[in-house]
Amino acid sequence: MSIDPVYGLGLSAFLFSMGLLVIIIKRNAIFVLIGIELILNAANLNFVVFSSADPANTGQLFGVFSVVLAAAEAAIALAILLNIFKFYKSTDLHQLNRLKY
Amino acid sequence: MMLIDIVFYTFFLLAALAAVGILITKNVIHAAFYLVVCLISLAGLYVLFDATYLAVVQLLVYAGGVIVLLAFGIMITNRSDGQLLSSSHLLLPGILAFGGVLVLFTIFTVKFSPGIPVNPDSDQVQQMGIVFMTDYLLAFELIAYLLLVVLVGASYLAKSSQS
Repeated sequence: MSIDPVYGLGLSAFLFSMGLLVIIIKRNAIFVLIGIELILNAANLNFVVFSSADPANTGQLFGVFSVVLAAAEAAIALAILLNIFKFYKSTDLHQLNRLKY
Repeated sequence: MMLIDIVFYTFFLLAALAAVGILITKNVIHAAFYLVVCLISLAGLYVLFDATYLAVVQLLVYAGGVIVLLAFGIMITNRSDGQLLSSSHLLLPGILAFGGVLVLFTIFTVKFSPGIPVNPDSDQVQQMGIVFMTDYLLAFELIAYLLLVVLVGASYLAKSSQS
């Protein structure tokens, strides 16, 4: 394969910063979850790029773990978000200012 | 330019543009579909970087599972009056963080990445299966328990609390 790894790393950097930007500026909690998925995928892309240089494919292995953790995180976060929505009738992060009700 | 380069740049641009789309759209369901485009393009890039097993996992777990979860989350938590939430705040700090992180990572990338060797083809899946069940058996078992706990925990949290 003749693809320069620098493109993969550059795309990974871009996706990471984009996810960070989404997390910081969006107010809807679901947008923030999507931003977190972007960041996790940027990390995964980095794993894969370095794994292509490694005969033992260790990066790809940890990429699988990271995908599983991302799925678990999405499930729990959406369950919590569901409860938040039931209570506040909104997913605007600016209105979520109480831990106890 | 070879065919493989064209495929590579197509996936590259699709992933980057879909990420930009997530940022600029105001509609949550559009953002979820942009995320699908981004994830599938990344699966294509994984194939091109010789990570075929992870590409399949990405398609199954992400494009299949996580997106369905997200879509259900959006459908359940959408406002019934059809009004969109106001979309952004903290614009300036966000842009500063974006620019800072992008410049930092790009500098690292350009400085440290040249000279990464490229791996010839190998029997990846068999190799990874063996490594999973020998060297990384503890991590493998732990992640299985984690998934069980997440399953129970998510169904408990999402259960309607009639108290």
